[in-house]
Amino acid sequence: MLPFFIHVLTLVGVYAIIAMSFNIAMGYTGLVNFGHIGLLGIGAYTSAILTTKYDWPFLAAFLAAGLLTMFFGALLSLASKKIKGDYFALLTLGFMFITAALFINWVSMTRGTLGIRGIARPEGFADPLQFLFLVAVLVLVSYVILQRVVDSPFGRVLEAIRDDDLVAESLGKNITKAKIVAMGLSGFFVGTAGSLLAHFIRFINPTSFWLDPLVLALAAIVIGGLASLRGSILGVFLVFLFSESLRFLSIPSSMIGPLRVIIFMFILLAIILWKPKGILGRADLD
Amino acid sequence: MQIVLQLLINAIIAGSVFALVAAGLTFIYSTSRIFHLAHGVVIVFGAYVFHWAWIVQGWDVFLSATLSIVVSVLVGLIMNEFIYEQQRKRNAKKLAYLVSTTALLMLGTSAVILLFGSGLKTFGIQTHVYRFQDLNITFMQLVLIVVSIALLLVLAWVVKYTKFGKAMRATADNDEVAAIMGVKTRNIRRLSFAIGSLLGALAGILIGLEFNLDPNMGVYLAIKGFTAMVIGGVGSIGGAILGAFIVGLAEQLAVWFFGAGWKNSMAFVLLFFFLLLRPQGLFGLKKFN
Repeated sequence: MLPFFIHVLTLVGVYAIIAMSFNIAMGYTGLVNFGHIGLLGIGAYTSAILTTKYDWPFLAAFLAAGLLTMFFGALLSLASKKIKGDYFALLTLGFMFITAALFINWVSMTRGTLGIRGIARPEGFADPLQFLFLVAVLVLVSYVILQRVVDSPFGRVLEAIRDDDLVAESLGKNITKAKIVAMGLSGFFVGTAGSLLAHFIRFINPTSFWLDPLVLALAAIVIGGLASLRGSILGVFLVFLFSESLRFLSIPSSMIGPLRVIIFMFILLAIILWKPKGILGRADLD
Repeated sequence: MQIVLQLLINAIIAGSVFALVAAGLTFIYSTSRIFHLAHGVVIVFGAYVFHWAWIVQGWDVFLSATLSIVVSVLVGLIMNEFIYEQQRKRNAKKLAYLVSTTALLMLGTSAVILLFGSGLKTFGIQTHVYRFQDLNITFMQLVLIVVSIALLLVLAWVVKYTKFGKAMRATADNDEVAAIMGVKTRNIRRLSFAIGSLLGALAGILIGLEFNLDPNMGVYLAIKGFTAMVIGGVGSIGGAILGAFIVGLAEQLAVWFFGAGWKNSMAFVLLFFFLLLRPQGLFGLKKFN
């Protein structure tokens, strides 16, 4: 039982970073980046390939993953200059499809649908409990950094962009630059989360970065509340608590996956209809 | 030469399916301004109900098709009535519609998996193959193309010349003004969702006849439909149809040049360049962007 708890808690930690960085783009800046999981995949694959194929040390691969996804995040934000709202969401969803196609088709690097096996845990953190400790520290560091950012004047610029980018711009704020920084930041943290995920599970394949994690992250930030980092962490906790306790019901295992998604999505719709701010959120969906 | 022609035929077949999807989305988007991604799951429902009734239950093919259309239209109307219209009452932001439509898409896909299983489904029906020299085209493929084009022409006529069409265009242009002038915009939206979902069911039926069924195909279909709509110009049914054939052709070219694995990414490459360089599409109006 204890190893199971440690496993789930580690996943909660990794997803907390994913959700917080998702919230920076979506909740604070109002950029519906459906490509977030594509960035997660890029981070995971970068770290996995660098350590297994080129024998990089974990720390270097971890940082490289973050920097590369930071670059892609910033690139996506450049597209948001001309492509807004619904179209940006569509485009970023497309980004996820293209990254998935890349993971499947660039066989010489990613080993295609077979996935990458035997990704090593970082030295000194091979034991699950030690790894959990590492993740916990990184969640805390990410939270502190991101909270400082959103509490700063820059954070208020981001929220102004979300509420009305025209007003923010007419007040003399450089919204293009602010979006680049926000998406770069969001990209960096989700990339590091991808690296952690790869080195924790020690196996990645293209289906690891498909719609399921997107559903999870989306449910977490909407339930916890948009524009609240603590809300995101709480949301991830609740989502995992819920989905893991489904395991203990006597449902055939093939039905658990779809049933879980159905229940999450019902909760999500209920929140949108009756409590659009989520539990701790400040951004209004109305 | 022969391979080019066969490629062209495949592009036309895929394009007909996308045309039905894109035209349905045009009806829905122009009157409601909702990025109805969950339309994909309406199509998937249509396809699976048709398969269940015709192949599993062995019912008559027209009865099965009717049942599939009824179910799809109901699914589309329920989504509109219980989610989107409720959000509209509260003046929801676009972000909220995006979250709810994504939720509906995922919810529907999982419901299809629960009801019908997650495996691929095939109809296993071989219809007569017509051969023109070395080109193959099946009877079903011909029906698919003819039905799509005929139906879309009828709808284009309806939009242009009937009273409903006029009310629809007024709602699309400015729903507040239309409402003030006495157009029941809420009913127009309902009708658009019904028509859109009907077209979606037909797309689902034709996909089933032509390709395999996969519960996860909804998201691809919705996205390709939207891409076709953007390429053609949002709000124009003719544009959406043209866009659909462009997407179909681009996919076949991608298969030819880069391999089948890149087929689904092709729509996005097109989408990206159109949004960046010609956001109003081929025939669209600037106001939708």
